[in-house]
Amino acid sequence: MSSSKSVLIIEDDQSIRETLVTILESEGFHTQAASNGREALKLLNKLPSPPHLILLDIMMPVMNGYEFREEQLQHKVIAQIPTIVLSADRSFHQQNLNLGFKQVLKKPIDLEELLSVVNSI
Amino acid sequence: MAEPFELTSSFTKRLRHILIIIAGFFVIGVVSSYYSSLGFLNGLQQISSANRILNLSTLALESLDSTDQTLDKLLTGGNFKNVQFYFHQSAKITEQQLQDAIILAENFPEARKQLVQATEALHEYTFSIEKIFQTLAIRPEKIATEEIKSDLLVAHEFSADARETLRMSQITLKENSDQLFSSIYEGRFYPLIVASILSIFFFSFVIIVGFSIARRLSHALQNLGDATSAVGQGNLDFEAPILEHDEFGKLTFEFNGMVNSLKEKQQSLNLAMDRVLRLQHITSSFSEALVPDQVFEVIFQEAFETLGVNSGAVGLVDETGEYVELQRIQGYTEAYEETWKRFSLSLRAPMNEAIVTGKPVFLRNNEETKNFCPKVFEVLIKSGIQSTCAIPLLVEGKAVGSIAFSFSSPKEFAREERDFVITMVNQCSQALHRAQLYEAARDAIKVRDEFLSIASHELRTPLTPLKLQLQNLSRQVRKGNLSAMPTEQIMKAVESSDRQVNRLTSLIDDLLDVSRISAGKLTLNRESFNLAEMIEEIVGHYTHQLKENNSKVKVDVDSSLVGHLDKVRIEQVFINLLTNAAKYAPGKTIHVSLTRAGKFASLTVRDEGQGISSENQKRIFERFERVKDRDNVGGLGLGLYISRQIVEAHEGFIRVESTPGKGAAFIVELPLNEANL
Repeated sequence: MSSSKSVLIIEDDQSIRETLVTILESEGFHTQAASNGREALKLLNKLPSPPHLILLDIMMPVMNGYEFREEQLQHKVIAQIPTIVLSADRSFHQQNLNLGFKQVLKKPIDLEELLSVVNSI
Repeated sequence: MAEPFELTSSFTKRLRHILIIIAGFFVIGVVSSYYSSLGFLNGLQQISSANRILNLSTLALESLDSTDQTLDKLLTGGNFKNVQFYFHQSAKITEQQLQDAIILAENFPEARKQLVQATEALHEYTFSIEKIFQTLAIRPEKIATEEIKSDLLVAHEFSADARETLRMSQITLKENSDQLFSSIYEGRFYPLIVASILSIFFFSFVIIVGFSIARRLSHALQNLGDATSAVGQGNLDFEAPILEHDEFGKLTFEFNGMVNSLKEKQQSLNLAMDRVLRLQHITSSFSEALVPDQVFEVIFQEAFETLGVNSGAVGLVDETGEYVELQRIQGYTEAYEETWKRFSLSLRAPMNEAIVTGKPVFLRNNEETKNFCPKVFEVLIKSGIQSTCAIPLLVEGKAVGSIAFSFSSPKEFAREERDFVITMVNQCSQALHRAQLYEAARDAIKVRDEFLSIASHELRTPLTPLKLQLQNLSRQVRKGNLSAMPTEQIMKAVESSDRQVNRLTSLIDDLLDVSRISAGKLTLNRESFNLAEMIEEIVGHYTHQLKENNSKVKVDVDSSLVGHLDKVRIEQVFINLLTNAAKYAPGKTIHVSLTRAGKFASLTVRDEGQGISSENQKRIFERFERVKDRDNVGGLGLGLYISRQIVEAHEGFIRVESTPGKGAAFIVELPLNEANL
């Protein structure tokens, strides 16, 4: 378990965001959190080093997951960050989007699945 | 047929003339034959009279001879009385014969004169013989004496004289008779020849004329026969030639007229058939049109192709009911199309008239248009319009809009044309209604799908932390780490889970409420309670939660108001308004007030947020709707819908007053308990 890995959580729902932060912190990850895509982009610009992983919600106000992903892919450095989608939409297929997401985690998220994905980086 | 037939010659008149000529010829022939045969017969009669006269005179001569012989007995002696008797008889007969001959010789003057002379000689003879008989009567002894003999000789001279004259008259008569015969034979023969020639000429004429009439008749009948069989075979374009301007010509002319009117009837029948087929075609085209734009496209295409429309517009009355919005416009000037996208229903224009009266408007020419709408007329003229019709679009008996078709020339709008265009537009109305229903249904399905998507998202959202927290606790227990975990962290996890369960419960309650309302099963358990107390209680209860949003609440209530209402439901409405205000205007003050407004208690929840646009104000009380594009706000969008249903079930009112940028105020008016009044 590497203690130097950092994860950026982009999720509008406060309780999900907080729960993910709590659990991942307790698992030894550094976490940053943003409540929408716009906030996340601002945060990414401010961070001295890019996170190792992004957990991205899709349905968000201001800037949703798709819009964030498009912006993300415009910037070389952050485009490289593996991004995992958190989706409540059962019909979400990442193949259809052709946006190169690493994986999709369906809500409600399974803890073991989440941890295996996060630990694989 | 436009031109009347001019009867310049008459077959019957000509036939009559021919018949008159034939009759004239006939009369002339008959008269000439009569007269020529009359002369002929007269001549024959005269010849026969001459023959009879000749016979009579021959008889007279014979009887004179026999008288002479008888008288000779007087010379030889004998009974003179017997001679006398015989003489009297014989002389009487002779005279009678001569008298007859004279009467007969009326036409033979010379012979008659001779016969008269002969008669006179006979009288002389008779007279002299009578003298002899008188002498002998006195002196019978003188018979056969010389004296008698000489007397007798004298008398015989008279008889010889008579005989001579008679013979001469016979000669004369024979000559006359011969003359007469030759005159009959020669003189009366030429008229007969002339009459015969005339007859031949006459008959030839009759034959030629008859033949020509027959030819003329057969030609005319053949002509009509050809025409009849052509028409019988369905060739209505056949026109029989008019050979002459007579009765047959007239008959042909009338026949052609009849065929023409038949053709016109057939043409109008074909036209009607064509229209029926067109309508069928339109109906099927309409049935395929699922959105109003497609419906209008179908009718425009038909109208421009079939009716020869030069420009058309279709407008629908907008939500305010005061303006007409053009949905489709074609064939007008660009400026017109720009200016007339939306116009007031109060303007006098054909389309508006059709909408207001619900009846079609037909303006046949510029004059009618100018009289009808002087203002719009100028604009129409600029688009080259000369005649216009406007038909209302009637949906369930109500004019929801109208269609106008214009033409670049004056148009009579015959009854069939009016019926056709009205039927077409009525079909269009039905299709429009269908399309609108279809659109509404599709929108409803879209709203439902969106709702299901939102509902599924909203339901899954609290499940995610709940599941994570529980799995995390279970994982820690499994790893034996639970006892090492700080109590605070465990409490936080459990409290968070509890909140998620409450959130889910609330969502499920909302869904159940909607389902109850939809099924009409929202029941009220009324009780009398003080509204101010209820407000204070709820505000107190929610203070903690409101603090999370940094919201402050200012309450200003009339504590005397009591309502006989379903307390739980009214609380639900108030909580909804309060949490909405906190949600949409975080960090601001929420003003809650309760005042009396006549027979109602007026409860107002006012925030200091961004306010709600007028468009959103209409929508937010509908099912599955919420103010869109608002940051960081989730939810099913059912709260205000449920609130409105609850308030209306209490025969109260709920409304929103808001100026964008200056906050929003939700006002609920609820009937007061009668004791308050």
